Amino acid sequence: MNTSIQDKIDATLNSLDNMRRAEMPPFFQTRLMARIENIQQNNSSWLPVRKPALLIALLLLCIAMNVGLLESTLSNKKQSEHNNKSSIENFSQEYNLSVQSPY
Amino acid sequence: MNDPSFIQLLKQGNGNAFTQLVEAYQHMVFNTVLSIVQQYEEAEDVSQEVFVQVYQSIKDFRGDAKLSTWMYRIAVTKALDWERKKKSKKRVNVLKNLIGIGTKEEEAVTDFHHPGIELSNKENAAVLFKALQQLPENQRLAFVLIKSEGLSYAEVSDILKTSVKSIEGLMHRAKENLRNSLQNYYSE
Repeated sequence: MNTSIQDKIDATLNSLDNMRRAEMPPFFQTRLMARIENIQQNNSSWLPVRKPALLIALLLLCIAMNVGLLESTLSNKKQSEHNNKSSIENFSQEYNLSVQSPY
Repeated sequence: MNDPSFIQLLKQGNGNAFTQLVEAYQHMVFNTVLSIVQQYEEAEDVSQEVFVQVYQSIKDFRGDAKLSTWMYRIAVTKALDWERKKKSKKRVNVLKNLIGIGTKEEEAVTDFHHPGIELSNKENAAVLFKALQQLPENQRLAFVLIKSEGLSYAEVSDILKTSVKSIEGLMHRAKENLRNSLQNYYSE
């Protein structure tokens, strides 16, 4: 019984001896070249980024930069208006140019 | 194939040279991949990935190993990648089924019959291929490359970037593990 199992094990372990190489299915080359052409066409697409997650992240970054730029422009404008106003007030105080109301 | 002028043509993207390369190595790549993934249709798909990788990275081939050795490395890596993807997909499906959002896709477990095996050895070889799946990666690769591709220990050591001594060790342990696994299988 034990010998028979050992024989089976030996036969199984040796079952790959003298095996032949499996051959590639026919027309493999044609299918391969079509796949390579397809990859090349996709790579030459106008879109430089192909991963959607990366594309969304870039879009969000672009929006955030624009919002930041807009905010900083608005606050600069307010600041310069304020500066302008206070310099006129200073000037008028310095030279005592306040207009007296006739009434 | 290892002629520097031929490799130069490949690096320049010469279509004829690439066709010759595919013609020369397609069976080698397919047989290696098939012996690892053990599925006929998937093996062709993985073989395509191997040649696409070769096409894209031939410019990085430094020539410090034979072209065939480099291609064996790519074939083995792609086949193992495929296996890992398959295993992780399986784990996700199990998890999905556990929480009740999965589709009950039962994968039919069928014996793998390598087309290059003699008819008298077919049944035993199918049992051996099943047992091979239980082996650690390196032992399995050494066993498959030596038995299925008929490579020497020295060639396999070049492919797996290790010494001949360690390939001998891997083969010894592979046979021992297979023997234990087969012992359990036939004793049941």
